[in-house]
Amino acid sequence: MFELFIGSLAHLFQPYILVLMLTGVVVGLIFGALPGLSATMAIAIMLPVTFAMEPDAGIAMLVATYIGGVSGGLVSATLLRIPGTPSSIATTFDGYPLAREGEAIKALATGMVASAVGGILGLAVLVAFAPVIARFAIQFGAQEYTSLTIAALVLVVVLSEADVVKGLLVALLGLSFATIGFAPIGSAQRFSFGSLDLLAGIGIIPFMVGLFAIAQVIREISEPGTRVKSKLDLRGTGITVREFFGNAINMVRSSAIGIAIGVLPGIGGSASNLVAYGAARSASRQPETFGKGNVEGIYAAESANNASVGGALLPLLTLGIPGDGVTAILIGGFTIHGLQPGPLLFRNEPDLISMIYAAFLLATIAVLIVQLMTIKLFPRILLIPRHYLIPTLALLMVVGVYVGEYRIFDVWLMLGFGILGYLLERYGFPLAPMVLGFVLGTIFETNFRRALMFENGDWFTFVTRPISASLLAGALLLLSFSVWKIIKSRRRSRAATRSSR
Amino acid sequence: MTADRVWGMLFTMVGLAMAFGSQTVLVNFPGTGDPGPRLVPMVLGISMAVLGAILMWRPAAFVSEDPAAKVSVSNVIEGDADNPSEQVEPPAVWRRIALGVLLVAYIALFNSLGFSLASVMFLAGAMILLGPLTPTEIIRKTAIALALVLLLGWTINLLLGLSVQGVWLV
Repeated sequence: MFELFIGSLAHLFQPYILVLMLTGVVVGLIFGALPGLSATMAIAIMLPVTFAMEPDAGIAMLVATYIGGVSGGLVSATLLRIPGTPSSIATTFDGYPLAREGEAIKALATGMVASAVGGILGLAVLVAFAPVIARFAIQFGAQEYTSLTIAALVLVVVLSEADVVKGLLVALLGLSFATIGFAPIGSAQRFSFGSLDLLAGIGIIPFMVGLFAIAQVIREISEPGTRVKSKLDLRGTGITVREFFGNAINMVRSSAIGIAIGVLPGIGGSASNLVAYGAARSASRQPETFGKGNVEGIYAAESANNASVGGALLPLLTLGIPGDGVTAILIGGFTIHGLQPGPLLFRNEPDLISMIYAAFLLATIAVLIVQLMTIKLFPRILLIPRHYLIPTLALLMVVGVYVGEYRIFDVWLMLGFGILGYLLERYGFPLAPMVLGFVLGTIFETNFRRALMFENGDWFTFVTRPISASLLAGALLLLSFSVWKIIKSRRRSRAATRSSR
Repeated sequence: MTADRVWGMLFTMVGLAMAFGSQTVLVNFPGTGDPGPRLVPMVLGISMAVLGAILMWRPAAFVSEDPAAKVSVSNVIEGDADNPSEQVEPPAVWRRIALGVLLVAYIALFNSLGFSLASVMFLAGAMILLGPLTPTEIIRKTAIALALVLLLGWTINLLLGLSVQGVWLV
């Protein structure tokens, strides 16, 4: 594997792939930095751009965009106290106060270095554990995959959102969209209403770009936004070696938290930085200085959110199960380039796996170099007026979706999903379960029907196989726990109302 | 809660339509034990209808109040007069409607007008609609839109090797 990894690294050093990766990193950083935009949106827009590329170049560019997108949130979190992405919320707690004390460069540099360390530690865990999980997952049959998709969906619904009913409803909606077109076994036509365009099913690109990118554009023009009103304060010095090594344990602990949370579907970077920040404060000798510009807080938050990328890629690559919106769109990108994530990938295409690892490492280093080299220049991206940005993004989305299949029908679909996504989110429906439902829909139905065919229609097959039964029991337990929590909170609020009367 | 009722009703209707619609799917030679292509959409439809009904009829307090789930980006922005950023109001309603019409027109005319003409019209129009309406701004934004579309057309057709109709100067 090591030889393959070195070979992949050398392959990625070809000038044209390096340029593509650098473009991905910069686009990701810009989308991560600008409040409202996200890594998911960056990948959604970059996905069509990679259509015409060789798989290795396309996948490397998508991985680079992902890493850039997760890292970019640091800039606005530190300078404006607006996290560019939810994974940088905890960065605002100490990054912003430090920047206001005239140490903006130190705050930014700390976050950049911590991000790189977190990213590399996340990659190390991915490299170490992915083959182990893949070897285990290779025993999975159709029954286990059916149960795994159910468990993943339940996990996303329960862990990512307070309102379980709404989460389940959108997950079902996503699964339903996946049933449009030819059925996966037997090719029966379903819900195409005589439309030739719908017969092939709904494409992942219009679905994703619509839900994540168009919905965001609608939000940008219909809800209050933010604008930089004064000059950005970019003063101060960089980090010290002593400070860096003094935070080694902090970074390792935070990265471990990031990886562990990243593995769980539905949470990812958005929670990992908050948990790691809390853990760093508890372990600190000066917990009272947290929230007042303590670098330990920045080290913790930024190393955790970048380490969660390695964690999130673990179930994606080994099981073919994405954990959130961004990995769901990434799996779409991988599939378009002929790569089918899952345990067999490790056996059949180790070269592609090592290429992803190499791209991950190279992108992490590229993000650090680009950020450090442009530490005084890049933050000015926040000054781009919205009236230039929003129309340009909308144009890129329309063109990007159109070139996927050269069908204007896909662009209409994208617009429809954009409006639907905007309305759903506005009324408290989470989008991540819907995306996962859509991505997992075909996997679920194929394996579900296959399992029943193997066992001559015996439905007990899902509960008589240990792994499948454990997964289903886990899902049921989680769902029951969530319902119990709702009932408990309802009782509490009733009691509070009674006592106030 | 009224919104939840409306959404609940919508989901119930879609679910029922899906459950009934699944029964019209033509089944071709199902294998032994295969439940066929109707079962999954039917189960999904029924589940959606049931959950939609729950959403429609559940009492107001029947939602979990997990404070951790409510941490969002906007929570962090509030307060602090020294912050170099400020909140801005969205564009006026007529501008938003005009933008929507412009986007729909852009998609509808994309094939017939060709990439460059349709894109310049959309981009310039949208940039003008979202910013101040002064002659200088209109000229500047039209020029920027033109330059961006030429660059994008060149990137798409020459650099990425894709084939989009109606690209100028390629």
